[in-house]
Amino acid sequence: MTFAVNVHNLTRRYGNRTVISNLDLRIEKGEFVALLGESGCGKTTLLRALARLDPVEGGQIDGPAQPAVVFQEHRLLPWAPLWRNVALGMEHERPRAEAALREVGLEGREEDWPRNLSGGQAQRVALARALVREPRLMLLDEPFAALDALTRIKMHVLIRDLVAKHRPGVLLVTHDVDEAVAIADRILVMREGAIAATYTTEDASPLALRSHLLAELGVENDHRAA
Amino acid sequence: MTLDIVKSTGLPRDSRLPRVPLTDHQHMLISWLVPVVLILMWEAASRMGLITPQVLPAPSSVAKTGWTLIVSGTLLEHLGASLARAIAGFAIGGGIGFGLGVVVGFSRLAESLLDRTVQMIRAIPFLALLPLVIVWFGVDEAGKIFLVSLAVMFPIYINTVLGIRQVDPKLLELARVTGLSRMETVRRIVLPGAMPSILTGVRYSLATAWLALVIAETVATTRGIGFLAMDAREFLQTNVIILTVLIYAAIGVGADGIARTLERHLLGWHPNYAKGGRK
Repeated sequence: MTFAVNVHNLTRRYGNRTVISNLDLRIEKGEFVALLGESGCGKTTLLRALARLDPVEGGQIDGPAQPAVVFQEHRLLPWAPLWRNVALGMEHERPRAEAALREVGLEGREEDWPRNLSGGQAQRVALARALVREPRLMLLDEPFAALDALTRIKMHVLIRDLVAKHRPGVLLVTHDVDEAVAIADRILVMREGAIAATYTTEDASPLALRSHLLAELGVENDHRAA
Repeated sequence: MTLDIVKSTGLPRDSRLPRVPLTDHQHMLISWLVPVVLILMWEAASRMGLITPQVLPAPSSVAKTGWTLIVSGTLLEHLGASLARAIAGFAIGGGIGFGLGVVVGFSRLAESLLDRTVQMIRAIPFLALLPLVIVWFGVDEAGKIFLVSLAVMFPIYINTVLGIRQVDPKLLELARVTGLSRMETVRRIVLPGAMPSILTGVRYSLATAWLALVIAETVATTRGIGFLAMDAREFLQTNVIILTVLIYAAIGVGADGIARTLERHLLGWHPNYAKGGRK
C-alpha cells in the first residue's frame, strides 16, 4: 500500500446539481499534489469529501478515515494554550506536541495563548496540529491565502521541508498558480467537477508551467516562457 | 476653523485649565471623595437636628447599632440564615437551569420538547407567585428557597443554551477532523466556548436571586436579614432598617465580586476579561 488516498469514480451532488462527476485521483505517500481551479469548480467540495466532512453520492474513497486538515483560517481554540491546541484529542502527548511546535519554529511558546500570535504563526500551529498526528494524508484548504506575500513564501519553504520529513500524501487546494508551481510535485487543474489537466513540475520550467497553467485557467498571460 | 472657535470663546490661550497628570491611585482616591462628603454632610445635618432620627438616623448611630448587633451575635445568626437560603436556592436553581440548558443546547428534540414550557414559565414574574408559594410551602424555608431557585434558573438556562448555540461551527468541524469523541468535544470545545455566556447568566442570576431573597424574607419569617428589617419596622427602629439595607447592598457587591473573580479565572484566555475583568 503505497498510496495515501485512491479515489475512484467519485460523485458529489448538491440537490440535483452535480458538483463532481466520476472523478479518479490517486495520491502517493510523500507526494505533494496541488489542485488548481476557479471558484466553484468543485475543488473544495473534493477536499471536504476526502476529509469525510461531507457524504458522497457515488464512488469510492480508499484512504484514511481521519486525514489531517489545515483550513484557510487557523481554527485554533482561543481558550487553550498552544500545546493543547496541537495535542487536541491526545492530551497525554505533551512531549510530542512540544516537538511539533519546535518543528514549526515556535519552541518555548507552548503555554502562550493563540491571541498573541501573528497570522503566520497561528497557521504554523495549525500545521503542527496536523502533522503531530503523523497523517497518511494531509489536506490543505488554501491555508496560506490570508497571509501576506513574504510570510507565504516562508510557509512554502517550511511546508516543503516538513512534508519531505514526514512524507504524508498532500492535497493542496489553491487558486494561486505561483504557489502550486513553487511547492507541488504534481498540479491538477479542475474544471466543472472533473480534472481537466495534469502537469508535473518535472515537465517544464517553472515559468513555462506557470504560463500553461494560466492559459488552462483562462487567464490572458504574457508569452515570455513560450 | 479651530482658530475661529478659540477666538469665539474669547479666552486667551493660557487661561484654559492646565492638564494635571494623575496616577491611578489618585483617581481612586478622588472617586471616594463625593460619597465621603455626602456621608459627612448627612452626619452633620443629623447632629444639628435638621433630620429627625425616626426618618433618617445619623450614620454614626447606624454604625453603633451595627456594632451592638455584631457583638451580641444576632447579626451573624440572621446573616447566616439569609446566606444559607441564597446558597441553597442558587445551587438548586442554577443546577436545574444549567442542566436543562445543556440538554436543550445540544438537542433539537429536547428544544422542541422543553423550550416552550420553560419559556412559558419564565413569562411569569416570579414575585407574582409569592401568594401561591405561601399556600404550597407555608412560611418555612422551602418556600423561600423555591423562590430563589426560580429566580436563578432562567438567566442561567437562557445563557447556557445561547452559549452552546453560539459555539463556532468551524471549531465543531475541527473536532470532527481531529477525531474528538463526543465527550471530548463537549469538554474541549463546547463548554469553554459557551463559558462567557454562561458566566453572564451567573452574574445576572446573582442579582435576581438577591431580589427574590429580599422579597421572600419579608413574608412571615423568624430568621434572616429580612426578619431583622420587618421586626425593626414594628418598633420604628429606623437605624436597624437602614443597617439591613446596607447589608443587602454589601452582599450584592460581594456576589458581584465572586462573579468577577470567576470570570477572571475561567476566561483568562479572553482578551476582554484578561486584564482586571469587565467594568
